[in-house]
Amino acid sequence: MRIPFHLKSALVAILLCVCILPARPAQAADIKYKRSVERYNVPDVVLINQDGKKVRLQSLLNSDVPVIVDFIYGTCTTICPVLSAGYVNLQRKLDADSKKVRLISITIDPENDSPKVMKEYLKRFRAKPGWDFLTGSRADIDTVMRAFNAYIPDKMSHYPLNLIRMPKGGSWVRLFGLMSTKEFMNEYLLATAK
Amino acid sequence: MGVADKGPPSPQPPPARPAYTDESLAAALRGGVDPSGRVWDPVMPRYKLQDDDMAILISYLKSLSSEFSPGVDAATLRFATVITDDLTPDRYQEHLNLLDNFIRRTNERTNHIENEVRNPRVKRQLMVSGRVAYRKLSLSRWMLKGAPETWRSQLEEYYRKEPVFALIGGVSGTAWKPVHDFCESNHLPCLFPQTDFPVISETDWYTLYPSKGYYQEGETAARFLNRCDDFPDSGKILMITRESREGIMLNDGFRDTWRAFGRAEPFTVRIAEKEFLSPERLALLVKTEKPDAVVIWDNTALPEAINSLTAPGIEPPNKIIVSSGFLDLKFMELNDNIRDITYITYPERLPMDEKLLEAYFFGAKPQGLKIGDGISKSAKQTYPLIKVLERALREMKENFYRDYLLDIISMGKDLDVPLYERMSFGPGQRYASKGCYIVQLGKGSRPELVKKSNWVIH
Repeated sequence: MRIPFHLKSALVAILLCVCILPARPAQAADIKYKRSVERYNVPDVVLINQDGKKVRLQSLLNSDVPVIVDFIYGTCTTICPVLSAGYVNLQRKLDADSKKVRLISITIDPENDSPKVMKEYLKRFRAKPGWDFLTGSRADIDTVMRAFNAYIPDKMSHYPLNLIRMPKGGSWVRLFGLMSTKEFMNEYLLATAK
Repeated sequence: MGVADKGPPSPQPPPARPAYTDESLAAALRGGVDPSGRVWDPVMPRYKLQDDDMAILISYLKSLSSEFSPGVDAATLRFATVITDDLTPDRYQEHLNLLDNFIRRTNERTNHIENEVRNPRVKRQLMVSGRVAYRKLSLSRWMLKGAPETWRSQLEEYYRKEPVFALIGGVSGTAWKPVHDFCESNHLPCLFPQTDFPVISETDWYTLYPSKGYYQEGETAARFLNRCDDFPDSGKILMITRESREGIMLNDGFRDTWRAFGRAEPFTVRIAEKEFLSPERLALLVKTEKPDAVVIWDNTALPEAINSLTAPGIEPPNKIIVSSGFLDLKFMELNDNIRDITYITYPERLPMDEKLLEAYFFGAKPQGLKIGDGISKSAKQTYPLIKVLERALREMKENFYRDYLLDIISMGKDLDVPLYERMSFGPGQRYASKGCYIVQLGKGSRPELVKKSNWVIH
């Protein structure tokens, strides 16, 4: 679904107010996730995607297309399905236009998440092309998590995090907490606004 | 929550809600409003289920945890461990001693608190904190005799006499499938049996294995070869498989994985159980087939057959792969001049890495174990079981449901243990160690093992 430009700007304006103005307690309770803008140095590692292909993380992320990164694992039954529902809803809303967004999930269970497990996971969520799931060696995955200030020493202490890379300037919007699809879409629009 | 970010402050606990009826549960699942009028968090999906689907879901939910699983009564929580008679006592005695010690220590702690702590509030507190088990634990030995085909009826007989809550540990030198199948049909958890022949299944539920055993070595060999840049896409493999339990399991692990990569089938030669792989036969096979890699799942291939591949007149393949599990220490007999092309699957921590960790694992609080060289493989295999069991009993508290036990274990944190680099768990994951190194031998008469891969290869 395309959103008319004037609506988009209005939305961005409202959101900017909500996010930038010091929130009153009543407003703070409305937004249940934490938003910040960060800069990260993407490490030069080669990971493996759901097709078993080697991919260089830097080339995948340093892109003119907005990129969203999250950390999940293939057999997770707690917050990953919620995060992934967010991804799939975003793909639906954007008609899975891969020029509009590139979705990346990075495993936090690299021992178990083989390409086969990741492929089945994406299939289960009816992921469309443009959503890649990456695994790799434990050392490389740890390096990636650390680079995004998202180090999770054990997948059972997992927390919900989405990182949106703004194509302009390459800063990242860090969204900590679970979001509704509407909130996620708004954050995407805000981060990608020209 | 996370290290870097603090979540929002937790809200006040909601007012107690009336118990769900079929109608109010259906309404809540569909509309997201519970009987007290509280609106569910938006991240909980609203399920637009038809009446008949909803009825199935509710009837399933009602069946959960409606009564305790078998194997527990007001006083005792019963476990058993299975030992098969193909083994000599030295192969399982230490395992049994360690399990007995664990049961005894837990019971002593429980007794102590029951008898010594007078204040009921303190006692309750200690119970809630999981310092003690809520029942006395018991452990029976289920000794299985004769051929594996006869084990099922022996197991049924033991179980009929004394239903247990779960099987823990256990050792067999031959098959494990009869025990696995018995556990599946009785919905009986079986935790970390010590077997090299686990049942490989993506859907079976009740047995949690330390690893996939020999199958995992075969799988790793295929993953390694698939990632070798110098192995051509249409490269030819000669696979030599001994028709023994070990050989077949290694063969299947390799074949299944290789197929899943969409690669051409290996040219497979079977060696009958009584046969010996002679140097002449191997040399002839290599000469006629001209393979890019030779995968040898045979424990008679060393020292003669493999070493003779460097004899004049034979063009050796680029790669030879063998299993350390199957060859045992025989792989140390590889000649110097063939070590560069020979790759060995090694499904455990390397000895030098493990050495560094022994004091760490067994030094601080030895559980009947001493620091030093004397720690047997059996003790190392038993260690993760005790860790997992300790935690599971603590978290299970008084909820004696087998599925809950498995659920707790599957949500457990990864384990750093002496034998494996990492044991990891997760819903539905049934093989805790996922790794296996590919190593080569260094030079000299007491060669080092040199890692040629990560612990896990994808």
